[in-house]
Amino acid sequence: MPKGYVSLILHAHLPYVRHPEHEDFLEERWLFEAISETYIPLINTYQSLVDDNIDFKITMSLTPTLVSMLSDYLLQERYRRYLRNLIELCEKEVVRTKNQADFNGLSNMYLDKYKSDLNVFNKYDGNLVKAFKYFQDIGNLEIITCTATHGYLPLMLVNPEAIRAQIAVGVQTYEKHFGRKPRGIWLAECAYVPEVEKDLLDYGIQYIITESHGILYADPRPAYGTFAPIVSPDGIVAFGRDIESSKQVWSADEGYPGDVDYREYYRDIGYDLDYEYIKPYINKDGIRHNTGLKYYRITGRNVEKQPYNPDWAREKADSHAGNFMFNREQQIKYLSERMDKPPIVVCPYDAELFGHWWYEGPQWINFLLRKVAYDQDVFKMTTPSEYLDNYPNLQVASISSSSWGHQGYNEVWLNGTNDWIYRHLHKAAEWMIQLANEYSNANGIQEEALNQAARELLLAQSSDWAFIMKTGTMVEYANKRTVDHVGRFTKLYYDIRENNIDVEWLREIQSKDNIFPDINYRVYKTEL
Amino acid sequence: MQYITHEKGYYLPLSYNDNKIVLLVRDPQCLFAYWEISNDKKQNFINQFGQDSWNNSKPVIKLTNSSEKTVKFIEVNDVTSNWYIEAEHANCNYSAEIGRMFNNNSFISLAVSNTAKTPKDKPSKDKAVVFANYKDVKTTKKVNINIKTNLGKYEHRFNNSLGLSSITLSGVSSDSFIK
Repeated sequence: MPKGYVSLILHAHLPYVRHPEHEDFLEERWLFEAISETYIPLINTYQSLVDDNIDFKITMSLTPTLVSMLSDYLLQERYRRYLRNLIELCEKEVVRTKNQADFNGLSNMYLDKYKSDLNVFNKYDGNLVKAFKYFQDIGNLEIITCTATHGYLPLMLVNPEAIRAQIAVGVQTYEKHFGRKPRGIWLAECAYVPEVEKDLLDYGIQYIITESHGILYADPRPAYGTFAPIVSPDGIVAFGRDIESSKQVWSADEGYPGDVDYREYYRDIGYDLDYEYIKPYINKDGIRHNTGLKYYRITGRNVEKQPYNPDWAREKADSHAGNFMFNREQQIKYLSERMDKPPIVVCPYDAELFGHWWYEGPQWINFLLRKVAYDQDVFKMTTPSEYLDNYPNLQVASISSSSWGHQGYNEVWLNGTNDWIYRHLHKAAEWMIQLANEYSNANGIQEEALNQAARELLLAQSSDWAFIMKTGTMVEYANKRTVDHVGRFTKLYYDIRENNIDVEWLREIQSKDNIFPDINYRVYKTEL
Repeated sequence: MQYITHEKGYYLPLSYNDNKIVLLVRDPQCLFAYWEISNDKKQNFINQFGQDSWNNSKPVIKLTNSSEKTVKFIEVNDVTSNWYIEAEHANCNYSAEIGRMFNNNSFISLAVSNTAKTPKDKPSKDKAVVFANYKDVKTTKKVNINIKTNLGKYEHRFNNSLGLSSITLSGVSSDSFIK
């Protein structure tokens, strides 16, 4: 019997960015980079573990926006184009660096990597959702859902129907792609308020993941801290983030990703090489950006960057995985002597940290899961559902409102940079509810317009726009997305009310904002 | 292929000519209010209190803490339509009214907000331990267990200065976000 459990939870999310109206759109690269740097490396990690018969458990939330993009034909074709372009660049790099021993190996490494990405992508017919579904179906991966467009629920409380729609569409999208119901949901930004519970229960959700103080400030005070889930008086289970293990991976100062031997994210040939040379491989508007080909290691602060050495980096990932495991062993031994049920250490991270920011992250996961299986018997990896099946008796306590954003509440999404959006989002939600109540029997083009209105509202509600406004880069894009979706929604609202639907325009925005093809606007009706 | 567009640029209105105030929670110590006073409401006010009454009164938010039964008035100004308000208490129900205040301190309410509850900011003093099966927590008899746990060094307080935001905060991942 293990003394306890560790649950690694990777939250994979990107906002819906898809611009058929542009041949080459810079922000679509967010998806392509994440596919090559995070999603395919994770799939490769899982496959290698399966091939070697390693008994492992891992959990991922795949957000409805991400699942929708991964299964979108246009974006799949554009990812293939992105890869072909990168492969061509790698081939040129192999030639350019042929007399630079430090770099030539790396050029070849990238050439092999991107060729292999294309093979993996083709293996799943261009739809990586199938890959994740496969690992769930064979029992190694538990996939949970998220609010439909990563909508930030605590700031939607004035329109309860809008909260319900975010949850309902999140659950429906999951069922469509994974052929089963989700047991858990990642509330966007781990943002919990008690008012969401009824809708979660109505849509069959059993558990959520919360920030540590969602548990630590619960009432009554949970006896086991974050080391056992709690259940609310209404029946929603909450797993709380472990503070110690979070810090080891996340912390900018103490975390593993900052190690000197790991690949340096901020040195990329997209910026380093001659403009004329790199021009065919950057955005058509000529703005330099990352290509993904990075030749340096972190090296240290304020020192000249040294060439990346993949062998050293792999050794570090191996030793950091060992360190992480050792610390969990100590933690769990210590806790298990003080608890009368096996502790669970919940480790949620942004999936894109692994691979995109921390290049060696997927390797670290690979090493960790192998070591846990073979090198110790203090704890086992588990998923929240498996833990619940084994230990269904939980302490009853009211979960505390919280988020995992800076300061632990809503400030990242509500501050001087982004507070202007809420009066428009709330008005649009109010109008959407009004439309759903008044036009509940719509059909034909009117029904199409109502469904499109629901899509526009959901897209406007993505927490990403407020987040980008706060971080201060790409703000113009986030502003435009907010204004465009609210603007499209508002025109639809008036067109529907005036019984004057602009069909050509509707067709155009349907083709642009084509997310959630099966949406039913009636989810916004006050009485279902 | 030429992409044919039927779209023109969009803009958002400065006001929807609603008459309302909305209260949002930022954190246990801070609320955010935004409001609109409709043209009709303003005209009614002027009709009732006289031609100069609008200019001779000040815009004021009346904040009520219904949990602690306290009320405070916050003077705002006529060029803004939103305000961050200090909340003195975590875990309390607040509501706000936007109105006008005359020199004699009489307050005329023009709109009343929703209720917003500030989150808790510390562990509960209640240490009662009740267990139930999560699947039927509402219907089954709950079991009171007398356990005295001491998690020792893991009996920690949440410290939200983990520095998490310094790597990446949200799932959005691109070099464009952090430079």
